Amino acid sequence: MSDINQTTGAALQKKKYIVPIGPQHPALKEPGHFEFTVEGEIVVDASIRLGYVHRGVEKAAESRNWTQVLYLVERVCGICSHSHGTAFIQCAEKLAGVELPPRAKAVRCIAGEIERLHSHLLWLGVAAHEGGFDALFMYSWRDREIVMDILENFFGNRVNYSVNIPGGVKEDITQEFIDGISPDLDYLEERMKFYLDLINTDVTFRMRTVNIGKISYDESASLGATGPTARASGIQRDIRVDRPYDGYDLFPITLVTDDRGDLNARFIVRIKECLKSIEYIRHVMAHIPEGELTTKMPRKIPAGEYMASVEAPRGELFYFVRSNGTEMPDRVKIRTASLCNWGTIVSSVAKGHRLADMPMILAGIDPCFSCNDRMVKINFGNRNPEIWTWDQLRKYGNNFYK
Amino acid sequence: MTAILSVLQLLIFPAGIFLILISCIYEWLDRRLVAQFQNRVGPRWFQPLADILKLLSKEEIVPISVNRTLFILLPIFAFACVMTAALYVPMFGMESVIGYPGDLIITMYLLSAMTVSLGMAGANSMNRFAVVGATRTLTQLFAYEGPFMLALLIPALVAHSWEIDDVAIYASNHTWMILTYPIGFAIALIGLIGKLELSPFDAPEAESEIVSGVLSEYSGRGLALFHIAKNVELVVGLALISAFYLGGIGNLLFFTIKTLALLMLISLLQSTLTRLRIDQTVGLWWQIGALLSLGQLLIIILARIL
Amino acid sequence: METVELIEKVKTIYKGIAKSIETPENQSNRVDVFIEPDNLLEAVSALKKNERWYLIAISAYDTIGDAGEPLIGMIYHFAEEQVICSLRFFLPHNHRVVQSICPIIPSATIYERECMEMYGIDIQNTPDRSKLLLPDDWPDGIYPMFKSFTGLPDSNVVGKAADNE
Repeated sequence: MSDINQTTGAALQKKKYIVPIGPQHPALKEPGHFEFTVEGEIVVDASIRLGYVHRGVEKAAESRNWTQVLYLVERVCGICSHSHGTAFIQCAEKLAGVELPPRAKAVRCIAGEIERLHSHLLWLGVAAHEGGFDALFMYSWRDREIVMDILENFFGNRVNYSVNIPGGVKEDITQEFIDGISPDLDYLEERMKFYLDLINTDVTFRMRTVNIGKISYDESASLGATGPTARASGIQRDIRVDRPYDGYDLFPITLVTDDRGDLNARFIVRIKECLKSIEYIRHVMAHIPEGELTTKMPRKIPAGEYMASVEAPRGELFYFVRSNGTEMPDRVKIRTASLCNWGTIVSSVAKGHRLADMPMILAGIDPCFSCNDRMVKINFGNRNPEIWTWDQLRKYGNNFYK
Repeated sequence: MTAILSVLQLLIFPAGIFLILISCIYEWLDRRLVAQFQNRVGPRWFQPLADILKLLSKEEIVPISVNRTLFILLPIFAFACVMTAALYVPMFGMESVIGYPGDLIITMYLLSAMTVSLGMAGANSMNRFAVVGATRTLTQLFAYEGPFMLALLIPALVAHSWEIDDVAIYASNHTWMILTYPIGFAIALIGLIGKLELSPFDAPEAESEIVSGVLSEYSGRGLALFHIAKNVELVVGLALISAFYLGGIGNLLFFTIKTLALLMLISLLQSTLTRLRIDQTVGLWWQIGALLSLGQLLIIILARIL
Repeated sequence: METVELIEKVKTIYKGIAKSIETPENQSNRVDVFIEPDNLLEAVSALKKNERWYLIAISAYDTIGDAGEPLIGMIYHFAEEQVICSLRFFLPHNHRVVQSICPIIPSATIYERECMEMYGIDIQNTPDRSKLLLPDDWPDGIYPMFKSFTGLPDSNVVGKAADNE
């Protein structure tokens, strides 16, 4: 007991004072661990530790067939599940030499942009909450429900909607879909304009975001930031434009940038991207090509390698897939957007800022912990920890839901 | 007989149980209004009372490394401070229970003592979040306390009295001071938000940074007492401002209308503003708040001389 | 810049350094550069010096060489506009040592930590060697991404020691 007394006492006496954020902390919606060394209110050092939700997806992918892996990688992250699926299946299709029908490409585009709308609205709420602006949090999450309803009505699920199947898509964009989604898009567009106006004019909100967490163009470029984080620093980097995949070659999209590089710019870029997405969805729906939704995919994928990038809502999602000519992939490497943006936060932005700004700066890159961690450890109760085989796990699952 | 009466006044009405119940209603209204402004439903009317009853009945966990006596005594002290302060303030359309020249200073002292005990509770908790919260609580205290005090002294100066009841009676016989001294009113109201650590001055308990600040280690009875103390402080503060700036003691109906109007204003400010950083809070109070209240004071003094 | 131009540029940069340069058939915007492990730093700085190439990721994979010997393939993926350039070399299983590229690209630390944990690659001069993803009590010398890894032996199950206390 006295040990604890002494250690805490010693820690208190030290001038440098470490404030741990996580693994469980109200600012974090998922487990991660940050240690901020502070002097008074100023952060002088920062470090991260991940792995609390590591599920070993990369390892698991090596012992499943290509179709199973498609559904597995969609579960890496619930919010950008479509991006993960698209990136992976794109590798498989390219390796098999399968060319998608144009209508399938357009459907993938639309699903991707709805996902982006959903993700950005979710982020807007979370970031506002971290800054202590709960009214915006509540409003944006109510609007997010509309997007969720669209997803549920047309793709069958609120998250993990699995639009992709090998060689095509499983959902069609019907006239009913277009009629159903149009009023919602109009409403969302109006709301996004309102939020844009609010972020530009609200005095206290600007006090908390303008010139906070600044990342310069050079820093951002050399650290390899991607997605809205990079674009808010003025970097013209968007996979949809640079390396157009699936439908983005048929229907080009323009990118949104801002050159101020602070938190406010990140808000503005994301909201403008939402407006752009709404416009884009309307455009694709109006010009959707006729044709089949799927083509035939072989069960065995020829040996080879493919490196695919997809512009997920958070930035560049990178997949490196190796095939050895069997029914299962040889290696699936996943590099998520959050992971490379960590680098920018830890190495450059955190130091010198106030502790009060940290949650908002962290939220500013839209971190996704489950994206970074990919491993499972099943441990029921405290007594008998054991690694379960797939069959045991399946049996347990079946019994549980009987 | 008088002794029994005083005990009754302290424990049952107007302070004591009655005030606790009323303060729960005020907390509920505040939460409900904020929820409505934020497009939410909000809690049902008995939620704050249920929270407090539940907390009071729960086990209180005392961390190993804290000073046990202080940890247990501080919530009681904070609670006692606001309850005593309530006796000096005219509430529910009646004159205050105790009144003597200089009780305004006592009341302000008691209200500050409650904040200081919060800060001490945080520092005593030996928890990183609580210690950061405690420094923020005390820093904020130094920020708003000066202007807030000046804002409450302005009516006293105008009424030539240091007794709350006298000032209130003066206020009811003259034009409402919100019209004659609007700056003082604004500062008093915003100061009250700072005192209660509500948004936008909720940096001391910013949950996304330091969990719940000074109260991170508190549970059960201690937490409940701090909650009650804050709720009562809200009612006392509203009563004080309405007595000074909104035309005196009045009657029960007017008291309710006036305080509810003030509460609505506070809720509106809470839900439309973003949390300020602690350095921004301090800067704002000293650069704008202090100057404005000093200016208002100067005007009064000059007006009296000329 | 056009894709072809960029690829040509990569080829000129690596003329002296690379063992071979390939452009795969199934992906026209990619160029694979095969180097020796010792030339890594030189290769990375040559690329960094020329254009705004950014590091996407560092991948490793367990594979088998032409002669049937087990190898670890290491790929450093870089990108610039539409072109992906991957620097690749192979390490024998019994000598998994490579230099850190953190002095040139500071943000590579996260990927290097991942490679160290998952493949047991000894990355020299890397600033942070602490665990990033695996549990703190993960046994030393067991690397989960090897093809030979099929699960921890019972005696090593993570968390067991703590629970028996």
